[in-house]
Parts: sequence; C-alpha cells; structure tokens
Amino acid sequence: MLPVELVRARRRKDSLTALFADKEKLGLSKTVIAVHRESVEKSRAELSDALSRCEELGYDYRLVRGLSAVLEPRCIFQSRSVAPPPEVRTALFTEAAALPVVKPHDRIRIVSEVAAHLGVGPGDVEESMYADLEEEARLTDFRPPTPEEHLRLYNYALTVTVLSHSVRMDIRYQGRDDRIEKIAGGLGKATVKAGKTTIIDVTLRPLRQLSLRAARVDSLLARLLGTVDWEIAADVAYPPRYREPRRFELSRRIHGGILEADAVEKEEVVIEITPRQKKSSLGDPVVLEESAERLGLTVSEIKARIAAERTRYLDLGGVMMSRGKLGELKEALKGALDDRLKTYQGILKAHGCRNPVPVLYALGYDVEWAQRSGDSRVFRLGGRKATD
Amino acid sequence: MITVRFDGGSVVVEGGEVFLGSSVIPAYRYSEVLERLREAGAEFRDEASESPLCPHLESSYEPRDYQSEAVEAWARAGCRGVVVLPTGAGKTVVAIKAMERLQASTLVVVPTLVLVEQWRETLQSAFKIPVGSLGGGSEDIRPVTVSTYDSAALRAGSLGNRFKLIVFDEVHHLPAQTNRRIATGYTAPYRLGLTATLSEDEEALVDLADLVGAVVYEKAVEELAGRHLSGYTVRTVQIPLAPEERAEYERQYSIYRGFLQRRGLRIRSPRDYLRFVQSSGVDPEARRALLARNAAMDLALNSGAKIQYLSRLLESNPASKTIIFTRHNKLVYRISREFLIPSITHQTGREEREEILSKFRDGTYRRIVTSQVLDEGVDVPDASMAVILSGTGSSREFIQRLGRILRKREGKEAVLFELVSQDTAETRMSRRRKGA
Repeated sequence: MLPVELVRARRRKDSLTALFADKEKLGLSKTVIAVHRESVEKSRAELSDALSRCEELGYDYRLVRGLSAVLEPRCIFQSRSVAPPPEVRTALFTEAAALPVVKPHDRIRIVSEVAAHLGVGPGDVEESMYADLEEEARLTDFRPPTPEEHLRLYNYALTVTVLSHSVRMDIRYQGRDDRIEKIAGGLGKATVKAGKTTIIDVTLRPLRQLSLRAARVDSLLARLLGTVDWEIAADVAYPPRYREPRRFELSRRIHGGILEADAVEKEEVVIEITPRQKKSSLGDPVVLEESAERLGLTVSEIKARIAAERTRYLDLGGVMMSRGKLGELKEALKGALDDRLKTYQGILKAHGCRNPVPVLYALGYDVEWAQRSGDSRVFRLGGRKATD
Repeated sequence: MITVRFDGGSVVVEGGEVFLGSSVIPAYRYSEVLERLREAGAEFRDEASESPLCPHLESSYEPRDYQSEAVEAWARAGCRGVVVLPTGAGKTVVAIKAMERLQASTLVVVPTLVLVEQWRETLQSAFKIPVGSLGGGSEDIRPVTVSTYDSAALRAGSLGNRFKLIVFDEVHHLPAQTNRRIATGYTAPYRLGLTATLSEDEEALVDLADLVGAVVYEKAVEELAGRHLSGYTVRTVQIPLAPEERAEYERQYSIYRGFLQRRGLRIRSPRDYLRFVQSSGVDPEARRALLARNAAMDLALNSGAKIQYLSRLLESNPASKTIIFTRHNKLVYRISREFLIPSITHQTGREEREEILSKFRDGTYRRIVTSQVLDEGVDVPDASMAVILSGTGSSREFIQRLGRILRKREGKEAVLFELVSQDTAETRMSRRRKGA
C-alpha cells in the first residue's frame, strides 16, 4: 500500500476516482528508477534528497513519493559500521565530557584516541558513530522494475490503499475461488452468491488498523486479478475526514492492464523462510532475557557475544536482530491473513523465532490477550511514538 | 430485575431503561447509570465492576502545601478533575496522595514506556507493594497498574471494569482520538488528570471536562519559582544570520511571501496555515511556496551563527548541566557530531537512552542534546541550564522545556537561553511561545 498521505484521488459527486499513473508518467518513472539505481551505495538520506529534486521538476510530490514508495520492497538497505555505533558513541562522549566544549582540534584528538582504543581508523569512527540511524543506512541492492511495470505496481498500491478505506465491497468474478471468499470473510461480514459469476457482498468491520486491513485487501486484489471478468464496486470513506462514502469502481475490462501486484515481495517471503545468512550461534532474533536464562548467562554477556558476531544486530528494546532479519520478519508478517495471535506466532516460528511474542512487541505490534489463547488478537501500533 | 453489565468498553443495561438514550452506554458513564437507577428507585444488580481488592496504600511522602490543596480540591469535586502544576512541582505526589485517600484499584496511564518504568518504580517504593505494568511487552495486571496510553486504549474492552481510579499523566494527550477510548471505555468513576500545560483549545477543554472532570487546581511556574521550584531567568538572544544565510533566507522567503500576495492570502492563525499546507497537495505553485518557506525556516532555525553562539555559551558555563533543545533531529545529530555531546531522539534505543540519562544524573555527562523527546515527562533531575536552539511556537513546548531545569536544589538559579535568528519569522515564533 501507499502511505495514506500520498493517495491521489478525485471526489466528484458520489464517486471517487483514483488518479492512476498513465503512459505520460513513463518519463517520471524512468527518472525515479534512475535515481534509485544511482543511489546504490549511498545513504537513505541522500536518496531522499535526490528524490526531492525530482519534485522540483514540477511533478506532483505525491506521485514522485508514491512511485518511490512502491520501489521500497525492491531496495535493500544495510547499515555499515566497522565498530558498534553505541560503543563508538559512548567512547567519544565519555572522552569529550571532561572538556567544557569540544573545539575542532580537541575533536581530532578524541576521535584518534577512540579509534586507537577500538583498533580502527579515525575515518571508521566517524563513519560508525551514527551508522545505525535509519537515514544513514546504505542502499546496497536495488532490483528495478521496467518503467511500465513500475507504473502498474504504483496503480496497484494506490488501489489497495483506496480500497482499504472501504465500508462495503461488491466483488464479482467468473467461477468460484474459495481463497477469495475466505479473504473476503476476513474483512467483515461477507455474503456469497455462487453461480456462473460469483458475487461477494462484504460489509467491512470498522477500520482499526489500516496496515492489517491493507494486507488483506492486497491478498484479495492480487487473487482477484487472476480471475476472469472481475469487478469491484466499493463504498469508500476516503479521505477519512469525509464521513460520507463514495463509490469507487474497478473492472478487468477497464483497469485490468494497468494494475499489477508486486511478485517481488511474495517471492521474498518464500525464499527467506530458509534464511540466506548463516545463523549466529545465538540465533536471530535474540530475545535477551530468554536467551540469558536459557544459556545461564547475564544479559550483558549475551550482548557482548552478539557484539562479537560478524553480523551487526539492532537493539529493539530487549530483542536484538540483524537488519536483514528485521526486513524478513516485517515482510513475512505483512502476509498474515488474519489478526489471530496464533497466525502471527506461526509465521514467526517458521522464520526461526523461538519466542514470538517479545519479537512481535519489538516489531511494533501489541497483543490483545483473551482468556482463550485462540482468541488473542494482534494489533499494529502506530509509528514509533510508543517508545518515545 | 435490571442488570448492569460491562461489555467490551460499554455498560449494558438489561431488563429496564435508564433514560440515557440507549441500553448500551459508554463505560465512562457507569456511575451516572447507577445514579439514575438509584434515583428512579429501581431494583438492580450491578455486575459491571470487577475491580480487585486493593492492598492498603500508604506512603511516607509529606506533601507540600500546594500538593495537599490540589488533592483537597480534587476530592471536593467528587474525586474527578484535572490538576495543573509545573514540571518539577511533584505531580506524582498528588497522585500518590489521591490514591491513599481513595484506597482503590488504580490504573495510571502515561504517554511513554520510559514513564511506565518511572511511575512503577515510584509507586512501588512509595506503597511497598508490587505494581503492575502494561505495554512494551509487559503484561502484568495488578490492583495498581501503570500502562501506556496505547496499551490502555487497546485493552479497554477487557480491562475497562477493573479499576476504580484512573490517573492520566500528561492528560493533555487524552482528547486525541485513539486515547479517548481509554476515557470512554473504562468504568472508573474516579479520575485524576495531571499536566503542566493544558491546551488553550476550548473544544479540548470541554472534552477533558467531560472525560476526566474540570480543572480543579492550577499553579503557574511563577507562583512556585523560588520557594518550591528553582528561581529562573529566560534570556532570549537575537542572533543575526551570516550574510550568505541572510541572502538565501530572503530569496526563499520572498517566494513564499510573493505567493501569498499574488493569491491575496493571509496567514493569521494555525487554521489558515493548515489550509495553505493542504492546498499545496493539489496546487504546484502552493507546493513551491511551501517548500521555499520550509527552506527559509530551516536556515533560521538551524543557522550556523547559533551553533557558534552555543559553542561560546558552553565554554563560558563549563559546570552547568545543560540540555540543548532543537526542533529537528538533523540539528541534534549535527551538534552531537560536532561537539561530541550525547544525543537523545526517538531513534535512541531504550537502553542507550537510560545510560545517557543515568550518566547525566551522576555527572559523567554534563550536556545532552535532544529534539522533542525530553520535552515532557522524562525525569531529568538537576539540569540548571537549557538552550533552545530551535522549537515551535507552542507555549506548551516552551513551558515543558523550561520545566526540565526547574527542580529545586539549594542555591540553584536556572537559566534558559533561547537563541533566535534576528529579523526572521522565528522571532514571531519566539514571541508566540512565550505568550508575548
């Protein structure tokens, strides 16, 4: 899906029209892809600056950023540091704390001393100091789509985002597909009329977590695109501040050629069930307290062992994991077909998590516990504010 | 017979009516439901509340006079209402004394995980009982529990009838749409809101009065400074932009000003500005104007001249424990890199943040640079100097930042430096935040 603020749609009377990217936008698509290609080995912040310059070409910034957003799953960002950034920072700050203010010559001396202490070069200290910031992560790999494919991916993501604001959906397609019916049932109360054409009328449950809803809509639409003569007519409450829903209609006849689900994401989930990287002896992710108890060590000892690993781990508050694993788990969880805790636990266990619940919390989810464990539900918490 | 039940954030009245418009009523009107039933002389069975027995709550805290007055005022208002006290004035003690008075199961709701830990430790040490916590992976519900706003909202359906008292720390967060669920989905008849800065938005105030109660007690910083809080000085320093920064500022700002003039627009209120920002989504010229304004403000807020002044300020106050505030993280990291000062932003992990605060507390570090994370709540004792390099026009933000340096210590005179780029739009922002 696209970030909601990047949705381009026009409301007219009772209808809502998504502003899809047509062939005229191929030039912009080529530019955005080129910016990403040229940003390999550069930081996320530099990529973002380069994209801002595309906005200055006179294009709608929502389109530029939307086109960039759909490329995100095709990018691999990694943080690079010779020494663990928190260790570098602590060393630098402690050394500098004795001075009233650090002047440029003091700084050179302190960086050199810390570098010598850590057994690395001064340049490595500079590079490592804040290498763990999101905007400092380097784009190490980018798998570009063709510009035509790029526009279809954008249109698809835009459709998913708009449909995710539906209050009601009328879905039609030829033949029967149990999977579509099941996914529709996960969205709300669904009535199915089977026949030559299957008609599913879904009254959606109130929107609680947009990302969870969007994951289901994504699965539904991807499946629907593979059927014959599909149509969707949805009552969409977008933007959310307008309470009166508007009609949003899509059909294979008109929109079939302009939408495409990104196979890359789905491919990645399948591939990464068998982790590519060699697992560390502690595993990845590491739930600190659980590991400490299991191995009879202190949390600090576990952390020291992690620091000695070749792979750098991110500290997510009680859970440490590699950036690669973080991406892998985030992607895998997007594929959850319902919000039951068991479903999420199953996915995480399939991806090597011994103790899924703390990992869920670390990834920004929360659990609504029910007395019967089968009834417990998972929610996605908004933003990062919960830890601020 | 009428039965009153709790059902997933609502109170359900079965077998009769209570004249509140529906038989399914938001949980926060639970006491009103009971009151109506009693008034009507109806026979009813109350199955809604399931609050556990609470251990005896007694602490050795000696409240200051204004803290006692606040608790009295709150009790007089039926144990509902909001207490407004400056940061560092001991709002936690007010909550502890209110809990002692009620001797009832209590949920304390706070905005961040850091505050969950702080409150839990304080309450455990005050009452010598185990205190539960909810949020950030913890799921320990006890008669006295501390929760984040997020977790309390998510669990309203299952925990909404378990507590008699809810304490809302930083209660100004409550009217936000998701947080409202806590106030409306819990039956707790007794409610205490704590804040240093209430919103000036009347709608939000009316909302708070309905959800928690009216403001029952209020003391401003000036009323407590000197005796209960440190004495303080605010020094606003106007710093000219460097010539090249000034030229670029004028160039960018004139693009913005030109757009407003051409369109006959005037930005007189936050609402006007919001409309302008919204129009930039569909109007490329407005978008260019917005970007130009942002670029100009970026220069004013993050000017090189301010950094030079900061350097001199730190050099001339070597012993002062100092918190440096900025508006954007970019400047936090610039200062941290340049002066090797520990930084705290939303990206700082919990462990690292605790380590930095702990070293700041014990004097290993004497400076911290932060954006908006330390604006409220986090217990940062004994800082005596604050430098606002940049901020918003919000008076709440200003008061919260000032509050960081007001904890009383013998002989301490706190000083807040506000660095403002001269003859730029930032000067208006500075006046607005100080209510001038």
